[in-house]
Amino acid sequence: MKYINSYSGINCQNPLPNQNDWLNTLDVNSNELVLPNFKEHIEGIQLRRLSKILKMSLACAQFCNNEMAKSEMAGIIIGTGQGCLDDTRKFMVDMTSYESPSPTPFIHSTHNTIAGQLGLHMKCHGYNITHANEGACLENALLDAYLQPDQGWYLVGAVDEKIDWLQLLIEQSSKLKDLVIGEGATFFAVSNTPSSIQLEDVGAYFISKNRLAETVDDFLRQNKLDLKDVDLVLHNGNGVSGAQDQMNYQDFCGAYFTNSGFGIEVGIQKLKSGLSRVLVVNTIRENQIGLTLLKHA
Amino acid sequence: MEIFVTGTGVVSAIGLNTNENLTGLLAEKTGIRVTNYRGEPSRFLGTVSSTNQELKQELELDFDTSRTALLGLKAAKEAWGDTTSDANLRTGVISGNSVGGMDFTEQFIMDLIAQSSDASIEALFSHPCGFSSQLIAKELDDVSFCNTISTACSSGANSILQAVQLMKAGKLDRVIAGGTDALSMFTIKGFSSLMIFDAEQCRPFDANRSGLNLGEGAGYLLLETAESASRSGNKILAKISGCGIANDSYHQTSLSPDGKGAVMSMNAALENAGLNPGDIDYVNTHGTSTENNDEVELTALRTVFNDNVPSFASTKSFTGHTLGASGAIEAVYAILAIQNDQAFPSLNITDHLDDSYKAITTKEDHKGGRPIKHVLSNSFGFGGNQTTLIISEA
Repeated sequence: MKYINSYSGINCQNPLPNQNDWLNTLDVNSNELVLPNFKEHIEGIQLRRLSKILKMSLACAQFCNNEMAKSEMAGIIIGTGQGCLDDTRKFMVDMTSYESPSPTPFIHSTHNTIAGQLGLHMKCHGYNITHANEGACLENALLDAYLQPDQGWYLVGAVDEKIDWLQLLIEQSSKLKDLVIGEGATFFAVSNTPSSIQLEDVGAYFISKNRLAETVDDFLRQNKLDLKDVDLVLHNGNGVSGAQDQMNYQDFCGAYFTNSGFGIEVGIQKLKSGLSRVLVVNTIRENQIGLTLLKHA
Repeated sequence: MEIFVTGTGVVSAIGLNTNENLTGLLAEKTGIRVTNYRGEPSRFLGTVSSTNQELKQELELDFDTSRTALLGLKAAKEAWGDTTSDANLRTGVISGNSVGGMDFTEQFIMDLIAQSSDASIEALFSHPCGFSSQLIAKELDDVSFCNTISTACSSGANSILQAVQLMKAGKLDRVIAGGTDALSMFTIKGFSSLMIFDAEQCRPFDANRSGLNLGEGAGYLLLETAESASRSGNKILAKISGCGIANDSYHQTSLSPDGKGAVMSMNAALENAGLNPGDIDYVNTHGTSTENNDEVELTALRTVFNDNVPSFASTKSFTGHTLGASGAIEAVYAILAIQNDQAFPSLNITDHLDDSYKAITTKEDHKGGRPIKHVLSNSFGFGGNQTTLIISEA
């Protein structure tokens, strides 16, 4: 059985570590990230070299790592829909502008730079992997952690960054022009050590969101549950009919591939304030369904 | 639970399917040639001979898309073969790549600069790594699970590892697992900025090696549980007997001198397989032909095998370094090695990196013609990612 032992997030609502009771301050008009003072989390020399996605990841991860200091980190599992966009952009510009571009943005452009840098900083030689399937990549990362043996705690991160080019793409796309895009990071410490938040089950599917209701039904049935056992469904655009209560968390964090990390943060707050079970439903990509079932233990 | 390989698909500089690749490997002839990519200065590259238009026609697609997706779909379809649809089996696609649809993104930007009417911003939707995996998932039958792994040059191997993990946990019954990566200006200029290209054909495990040659391609395995294989009737070709993963956590792009992560991943795979080092008959190394990789990998091999290193070689001397596809292409080669009892060599070696530990330079060098039952295959990536697969006779 797996539990969430610690978590931290960077989002538009509340400053890092985002663990206080902040539900009643949620504001749909907050569209800018509340960034921490990165100097408090990352050394000066490193700070200058790192893009926003790497800084966000390090700051969040550092928080979980400090809280889990007494036990051993067994591995790092990252979910990112688009990876290190800004370093990719930087190298694309540099390679067309200069004869001999600097390799640094190239080195930092691959999706696994995040898990690689975290491994380096936290001196973790264990399991290290990056899930990058656009939709449901956090759920794939959590499922990966869920299947790991009891060998310590796993750092599971959900992170995506927004760059101007992405905004431009959305504005010019006929399908997506009204979408409010966001960015953010949520990191979790997952282990077999009991805590008040149980990661009851995780599902990731390549199934059209038109079949969301039956997918949720099947998922709950496998856990010998039905919708009546779920106090609240948290979703990013597609609710589940018949749910006791629902909330669209995307209104508070914007659209990004790993925003179910923010949804889970809301879910944890809801469990801490008295609910016993929440389901986070992610349909950010139309043919990818991610389901995370959390229980107050 | 045993995980069986019942299909293989591969596209590389030495061939457009598994058979052509086997022929190329047995002929000991490289596919790496002097190539002029998009007006770049000529370099040794491992290019797949089909054009995008040819691939699109063969795959019966009615839209243009990234070469990463085209190469991937071609190899995935070969691995799937004529496997029958079976709604009772939970079928997944797990695919790795390093830079997604970068080649198509670059084409869009070049069209934009040239003010060509072909420039459509929608091209950028094929940029994310997940795009090619989802195209494969859509084109095959029964797929209800799709994931993408991006761990740079170990992406393909890690996709196979993920598939094994999900199948052993009872989440999936059969998986198309592997990786794909097309050449792009981005990776060519990127590796060029790191100054790790060999101006000649690469020479893995040669004392005077001076870097890698980039390649492109895709490789996929059809993995099935025993129950799935009995329902599908597919012939069992081999099995994945062990997977190991670790992080070197030493430097973003280079390996620690003692190869700590590589030793850990190889030992983890051996332990996972329940095998002793002495059981391994052939090692398909990561063997990029960079100074750092080959030296450290040989050190790590000596540690793991306690100086009794089995026959080893790098088939990147045939294909070039196909980045996110390499671990999966080399997994197909491991299966071919087992099926044909042949150890494929490292080409272009003049002086060995270490005369006491020589890579095999021709298939006749394989120790005593020892039958090949267990192959160990290494894949290392930027970010310290180290993955080892052990593929065995079934």
